[in-house]
Amino acid sequence: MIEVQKLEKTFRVARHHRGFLGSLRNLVETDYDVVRAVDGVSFSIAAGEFVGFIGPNGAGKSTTIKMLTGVLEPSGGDVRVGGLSPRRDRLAHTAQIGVVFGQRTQLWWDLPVIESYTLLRHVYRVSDAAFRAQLARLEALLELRPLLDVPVRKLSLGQRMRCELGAALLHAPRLLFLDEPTIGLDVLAKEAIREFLATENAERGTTILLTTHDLSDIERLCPRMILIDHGRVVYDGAVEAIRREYGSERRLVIDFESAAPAELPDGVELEERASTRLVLRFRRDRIGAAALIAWLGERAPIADLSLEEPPIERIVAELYRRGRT
Amino acid sequence: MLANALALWARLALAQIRSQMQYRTSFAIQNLVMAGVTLSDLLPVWILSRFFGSLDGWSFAELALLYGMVGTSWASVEMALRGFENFSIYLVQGDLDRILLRPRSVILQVATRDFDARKLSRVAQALLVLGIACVVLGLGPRSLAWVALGVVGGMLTFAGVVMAGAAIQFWTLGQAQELQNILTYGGSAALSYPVSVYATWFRRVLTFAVPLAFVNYFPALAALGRTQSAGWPEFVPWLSPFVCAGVLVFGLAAFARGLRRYESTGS
Repeated sequence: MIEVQKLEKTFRVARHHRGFLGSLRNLVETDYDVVRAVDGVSFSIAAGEFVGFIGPNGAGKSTTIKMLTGVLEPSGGDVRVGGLSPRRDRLAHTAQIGVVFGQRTQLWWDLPVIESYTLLRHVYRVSDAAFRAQLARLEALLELRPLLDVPVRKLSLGQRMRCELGAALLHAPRLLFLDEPTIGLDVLAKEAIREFLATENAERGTTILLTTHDLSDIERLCPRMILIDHGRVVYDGAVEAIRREYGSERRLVIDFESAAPAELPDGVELEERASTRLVLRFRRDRIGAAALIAWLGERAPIADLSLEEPPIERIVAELYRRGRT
Repeated sequence: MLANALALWARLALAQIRSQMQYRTSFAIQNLVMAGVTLSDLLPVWILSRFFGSLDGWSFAELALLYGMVGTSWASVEMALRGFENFSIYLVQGDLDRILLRPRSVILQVATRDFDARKLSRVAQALLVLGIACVVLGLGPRSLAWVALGVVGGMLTFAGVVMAGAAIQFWTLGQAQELQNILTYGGSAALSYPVSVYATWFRRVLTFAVPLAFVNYFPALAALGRTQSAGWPEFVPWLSPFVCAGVLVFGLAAFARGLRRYESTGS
């Protein structure tokens, strides 16, 4: 569905000289810094996949999305989406995709939602029958009925986001780009959106590329994630595997029936010690959880324990940090 | 294809009108104020022609003809293509990206984005002045045809000018809105008087550089049968449609060029 090869985007940014004399120099001199926003990104996404696309601010995410959606022309490399070149075939390409920007509306602010939908039907040249069928489906899944006659400006953020999703899917696109669809939403509204996206992906096989800073979106929805930093792909694979590969530091909270052992095996760090309780951090590559528990069990009888995998936020933060050094 | 595009243009424009009608009182008041303000444009013309009897040989009715022609053209372009005047905002705030994400012509979408129904009163007012001027001057069918040609040519010209003005924003990143305003508001104000009253250099600018003189001055000369007495060869008014269409083509080309630049540079 999406084929990206050695994708590059460089921007020329005018260099600004500081101070009063500097501002005079800015007028006559045109010095440019070349910024490589996207620097050789390759990946491919099959039809029906649900992929999380993440990276810190300024990593090149939006630039990549803009090239995938046909807003920007790549400076190098190749993009194909559904066999089309997003920019050269802009009209055909934009008809096959849906795009939701969480921070910006595509609805007509002062008009009732249904009027925006009708306008979009004409913009996308959707036949009346197809429009009605799709609207009925979306109405049921997103619980849109009570919202359709309300002017967009009077909707709550959660309601508006449901309407935005509806708007992006009216022309039944094969591919959906989502940029921060859950930003600023409360827990319930977030859950409603996630539920809907999972259904859309499973039932219609819509390929979805989700950009977000909320990694719980990714954990809940995406079997695969692509992590990008400094314009390069830092990680591309299963969300589960990233724990195994990078989430090396785990945490063990263990309670003993008697006094906790005084010594610890190599590669285990002590975070907290009480009379019968230890909180330990250990690295997967140094010692396995089973081996550690067995080792401790030999020294004191164990009453209770819990093993915590590192939260995905910490793994990703760790990956970002590695990218910077 | 074209019919479909025009139908969509009408739908999008109507949506803007409905949006503005959401605030009914404000809509009505703004329309009234707009009509009043623009009618007051005509006041200095009237005072000048009263004071001097005529202006460079143009009676008040003839001046009103000039005013009506350029006013009708400019007001209808301002109403129908308002988006190009606000284009710098779309560029800076990213609305242009949303436009590029829809499978329709960018020009069509920009044109209707801020369709301004409040300008309707200005169009009506300019048409009224034009109509009265035509009646008072007792223009025959041939002259009326020239007037119509001038009005249509003016629409093409101003459309070209606002598009070229929007195109400039691609290079200046939305920092040169004023330049566009000089050409449009300034141009339409300048054309409320016969081009012959201006200093030679400015006359040349209006004839050759930014050929706004072809919008109303030359067609009006032809309508009044005064081309030769004004010192121009008889064929000059005939150039009007070509020059006006040329300005439109230039504007379209400049905008298309700017858009390509945007797509390859972003931001």
